[in-house]
Amino acid sequence: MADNQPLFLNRIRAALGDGDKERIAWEELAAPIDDSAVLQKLTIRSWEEQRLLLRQLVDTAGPLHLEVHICASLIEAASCIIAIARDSTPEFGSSKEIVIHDHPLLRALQLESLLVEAAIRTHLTRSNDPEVRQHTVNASIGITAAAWGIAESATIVQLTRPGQPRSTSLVPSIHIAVLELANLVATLAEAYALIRQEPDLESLVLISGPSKTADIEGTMVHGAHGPRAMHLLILTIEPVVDKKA
Amino acid sequence: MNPSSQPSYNEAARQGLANPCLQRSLHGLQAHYGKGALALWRTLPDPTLRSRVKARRMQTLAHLDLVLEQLADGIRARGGQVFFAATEAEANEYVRDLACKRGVRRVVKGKSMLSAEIGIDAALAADGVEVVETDLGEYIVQMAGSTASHIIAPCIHMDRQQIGRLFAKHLHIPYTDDPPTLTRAARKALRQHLLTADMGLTGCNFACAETGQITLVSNEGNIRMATTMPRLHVALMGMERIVATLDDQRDLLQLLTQAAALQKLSTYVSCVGGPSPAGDLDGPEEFHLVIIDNGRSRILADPEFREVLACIRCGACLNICPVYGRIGGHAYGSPYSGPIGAVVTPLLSGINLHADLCKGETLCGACRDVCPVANDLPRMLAALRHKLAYGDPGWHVRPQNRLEAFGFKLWRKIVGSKKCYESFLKFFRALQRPFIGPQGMIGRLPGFGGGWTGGRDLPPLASSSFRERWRQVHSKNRTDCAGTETEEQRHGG
Repeated sequence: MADNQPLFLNRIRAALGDGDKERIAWEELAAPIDDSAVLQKLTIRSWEEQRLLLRQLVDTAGPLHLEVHICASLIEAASCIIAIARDSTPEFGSSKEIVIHDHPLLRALQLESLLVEAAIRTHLTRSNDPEVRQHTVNASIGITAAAWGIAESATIVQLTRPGQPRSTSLVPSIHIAVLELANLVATLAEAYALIRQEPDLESLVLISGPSKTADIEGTMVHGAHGPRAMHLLILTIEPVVDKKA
Repeated sequence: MNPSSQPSYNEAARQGLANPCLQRSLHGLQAHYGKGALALWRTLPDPTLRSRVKARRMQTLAHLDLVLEQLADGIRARGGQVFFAATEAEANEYVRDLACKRGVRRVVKGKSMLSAEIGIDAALAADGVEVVETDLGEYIVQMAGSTASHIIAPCIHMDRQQIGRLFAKHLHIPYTDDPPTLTRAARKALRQHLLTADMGLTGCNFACAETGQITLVSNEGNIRMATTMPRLHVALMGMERIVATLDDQRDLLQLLTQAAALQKLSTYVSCVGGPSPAGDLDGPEEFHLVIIDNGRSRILADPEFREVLACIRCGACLNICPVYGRIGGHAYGSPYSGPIGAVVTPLLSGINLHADLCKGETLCGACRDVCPVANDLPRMLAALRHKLAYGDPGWHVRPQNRLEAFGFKLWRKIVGSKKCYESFLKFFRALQRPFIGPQGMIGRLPGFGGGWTGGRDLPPLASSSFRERWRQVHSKNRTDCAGTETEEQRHGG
């Protein structure tokens, strides 16, 4: 098909007219934002302040049906996940399977061996594994590691990375996200300052609770097309050295 | 947006008024969301946010060629493809051609009003491609063979019993009117479509020139599904739905989710803009962004209406409008209903063709107060009425009602002369006498006067005018003015 772009943009230029004195260059229109002050603020935020943010997140999460679990250790987090898995019933298939992002934090939970004991199969979403899609469709639970959390809106920021596909937090009936308390920020603006530090981001998604709809007579129902339940595990392990130094 | 096959504005409005389910739902919607959004704006931590965002929107529109070019470069750099479509026909042809070349049999749609504007469903269906709406409300109206009547609550005109009967018939489930059960049935049916479709077709809430990505918001997760699971993702974007920087996107995103549904953020906010890189385990193999003009550049060129392109389609004006709140969305005969529809529909597809829309609104100003980008819709509605009254060759508008124009010209003559005016009053006072009912009101007028009394009683002309009464009652007091004020003067002002 013909390249319509020059014609299209010319029509816009004609519509704008040439008399506009306010025109500035792209570089000025999209002048880079200096995030250093925000980032600096994040590095000096104390552990007590992080705990206050956690309290705010818990308060906000309630009305969104986002279940927050506070875990003081990796072992506690792992047993929390196992409890959720045991109590769940598969929605679409008959077997209990779990897909897990291939992420260092999640590998450290050693879920694979623990869940084998509970007779639940797990699959890591390893890069280049052609069966990941099928595993994800079959799975009743997807586990992801969130890059950051946002306290004001009870949101997690999920970056798409090799081994960390988008569908893990979407296709299974239950989504469990794991977040380190050190990575909880106060506002969307702070999260955006962090996102801007990530070069070549292919895609990202902000998630604030389970999927929902109110399309039938305004009645809120959780579980429209995405997960019907979402759990957020906050790991409150205080960093030994300054977390972001 | 072809109104010829649809009932007239008046007829559809009557149907809306007679639909008790619609009336109940609209009342609930407006009481909660419309009033809620107004309250939110009053308590914004940053009270200048809306005007600041609006100024930035207008600045971006003044650089639209620049930002679109930047966006296209960014998307192509990531391996995505960009097509600029001047008309709906060009956009439809591009998508049809793509579907044909890639052997697409099933398309899953994320909610997009632009897709309804360009009529892409019919275009694809003509090629034998199955098109499935996946937003629950859109799915329901598609199943019912109806159209959406609200921007974010598409099936607000239907009650749970209707939806239950529809699902029993089409999804072959036992009849139920329980919303959770109905939602689960749709979830199950649509999951199959979402997992097996070849193409996901979505709109675009905003594109961001700086990042070369588009932002899509949803609560249901259907848009994430449609942009993640099929091998092709095609996004349709109105050319004005663009921001320059990620910071602009954040401001607009927060205004959008608050104005639309009083949410700090939607459940899902996705930023995507290209095929998934090799080695990634999901995401589309191809990403196509179709940037559509379809009449928007004409709006851009007119300083009187350019402002309407700042709209972010949140639906807040529908949630506050006293007219939309009674007649519902179908009367507007367009995917864009409510006050925004009454401005944008005529501008996009013919001012004479949609003449009723701007006349039906009350100009009360509520839509301007609730608009997250403070669009002055009443001003633009009045401007459209002006064009309809006097014609405008620039917009190909012919005067809509020459008889009415003549009437007003005559009226101008009458009120310009005291003698004329007083004889006019005398004449009509005599003429109206037989029509005044027992309550002292005119309940019915003959001929086209009937249009004035069809829906309400008209108060008759007073038996004497203010001037006449002044002469009779107060003129004798005028001599007292220098002295003490009389009782009448104090009350009468």
